[in-house]
Amino acid sequence: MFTLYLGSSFSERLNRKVVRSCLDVIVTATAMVMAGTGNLELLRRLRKLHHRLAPDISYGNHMATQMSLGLLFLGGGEYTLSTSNKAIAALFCAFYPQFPDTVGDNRSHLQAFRHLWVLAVDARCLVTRDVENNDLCAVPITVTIYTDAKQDSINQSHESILDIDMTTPCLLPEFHLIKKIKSQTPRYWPVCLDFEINKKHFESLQVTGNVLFVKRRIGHLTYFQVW
Amino acid sequence: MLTYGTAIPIVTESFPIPVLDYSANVPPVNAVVSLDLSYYSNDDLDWPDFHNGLAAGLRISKGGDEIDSSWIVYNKPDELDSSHAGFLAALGLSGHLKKMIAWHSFHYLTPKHDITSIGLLLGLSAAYLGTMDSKVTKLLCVHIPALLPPHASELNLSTPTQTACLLGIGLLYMNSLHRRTAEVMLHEIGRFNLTGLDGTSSTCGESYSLAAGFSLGFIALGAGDSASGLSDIHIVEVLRQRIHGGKGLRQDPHVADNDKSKQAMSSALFPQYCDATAPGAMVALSLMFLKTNRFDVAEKLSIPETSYLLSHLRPDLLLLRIVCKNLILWDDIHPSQDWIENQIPPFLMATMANEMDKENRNQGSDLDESLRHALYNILAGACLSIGFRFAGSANASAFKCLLHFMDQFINISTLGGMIIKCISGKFIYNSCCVILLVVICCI
Repeated sequence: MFTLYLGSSFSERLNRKVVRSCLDVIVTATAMVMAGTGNLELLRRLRKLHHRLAPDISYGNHMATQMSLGLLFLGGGEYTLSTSNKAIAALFCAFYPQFPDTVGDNRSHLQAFRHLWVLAVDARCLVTRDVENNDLCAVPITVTIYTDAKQDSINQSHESILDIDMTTPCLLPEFHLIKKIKSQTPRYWPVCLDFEINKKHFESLQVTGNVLFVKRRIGHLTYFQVW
Repeated sequence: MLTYGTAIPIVTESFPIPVLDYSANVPPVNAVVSLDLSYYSNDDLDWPDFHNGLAAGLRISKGGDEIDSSWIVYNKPDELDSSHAGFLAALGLSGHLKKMIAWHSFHYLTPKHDITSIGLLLGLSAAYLGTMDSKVTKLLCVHIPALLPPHASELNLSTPTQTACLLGIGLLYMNSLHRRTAEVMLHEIGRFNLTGLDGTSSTCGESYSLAAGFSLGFIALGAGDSASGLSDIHIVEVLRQRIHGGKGLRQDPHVADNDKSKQAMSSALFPQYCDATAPGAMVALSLMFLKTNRFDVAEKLSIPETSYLLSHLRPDLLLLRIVCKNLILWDDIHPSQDWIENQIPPFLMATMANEMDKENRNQGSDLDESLRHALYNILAGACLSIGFRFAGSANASAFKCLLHFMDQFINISTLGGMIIKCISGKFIYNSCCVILLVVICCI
């Protein structure tokens, strides 16, 4: 399926063009999935694509690569994308699969619309700070999520749940999916945010800007100290 | 995107927008070669500058109440330029333009600097997202001939400005199911042969139709059939006709009275026009039924099952169809290679399997090029659907699967020896320049 003989005849150049524009779409799709994570494997490939220099690599090809590169490190890793209706529509508009051919090309999609991804951005980076001195600290947590939750629906029975182990600072799953967040460490006093039982936990997290304060137990080191 | 929301502006100073560096290092001597800007017309540099200004503006974080109307105006250069236009759009996208006093905006609009108008109006509508604010509506309406009363005086407006305003209306009326605007948008999807400023036919007709599609999609976002107020304009039927052509439209006395709409509809009856109207119509349909899992609607966007029918469809429309269909059938998207391959129609899969057999026996390939292009586009479309479905989730299986296809495509795109070392210098400068521009745009 994936063998192709590329040369310089018209049809071969056409082939190359099609393959490249499809590649653009796949690259942006992958970057969307990994938005804000800074995933190394994807970065390696993007770097390779970024270094492409040839007369027939168009403005749009570069645009797709660079947009993906930016998306991969969205807001320095503090933000990621949401999948609410509004966000999907905005993303569709921003990553519309036809990229411009030349710098001034507005034929199939106005270039200004490429920035609508901003409407899909979601701040979901959970940060923990020591309540004593306000220092950043790393804390292993377990996030319990619903695997069958749907956005915008109010009454639903959640049956399947899933535990994910993470270490802060980390990007959380979407908030409507989260059942609770619990710290899993002997070094800090336990903290548990249960969004299902106590809505105030969620609100307070929004107020502090996704900062969770924890208190270290006496005689324990932080995770940054080796010994 | 890297520095999104990381900077807090100093209120007493104007916000710095870094200037684009057009010079390039040429290995191996590392000589710095600057680009002769006179080689390019101003139009060529407008958009990079716009992106640059926008990127700089997006660094300003969302919160913070230091920004007020006078600070925004303080940043205005003596002569309007495109980087400031981008800056305005960025302020709008992050919601700061709400603080701008209405009459300040007239300073930007009266010179009729195209890109500034686009930036400001798009920014304003993004700032007032979903509010149906009447002041902004008025500003936008003035720029859209379709929303002006009949026999209104001709406004010399470029198509890009109209396009931006069309989408702006969509953003402003998001989720509102506003009947009048929805009707206009539905109508505008069918208008693609616009005349430009100088009376010639504009090249941006397709993007205009697409913007109308997005706009309609925003207005009726995910509403599906619950939009009872919109039922009498037969959105689904009209859109179906815009996608497939033909005479599917019910003759409505209300529509027949209106000369304008009659004209537009008769022009869209021929399938060859559908190439221009289909993207907008597909986008509108998919956003309207977003996540509703309505199989009957998705069926209208299914891809042809025979090679003959497939050859009548442009490959990039095929890509769009796959994406739109899957946005409707949201819950069916699975992050697996099998799911992606299932998107390929069976006959194409069989042809491909046949082909692979032949290649294994070294008999060479005699496959029709268009089938190959169709296949690639279908795969890319399926990948993009997964991208939307799992956006921001870092889902491991989705990532693995997309990476697999990405590698395949990188392989075939590099086969032809992509890095040509001895290309003439001019090309190096050009492409370096473009790279630099876009890097800065996105970061």
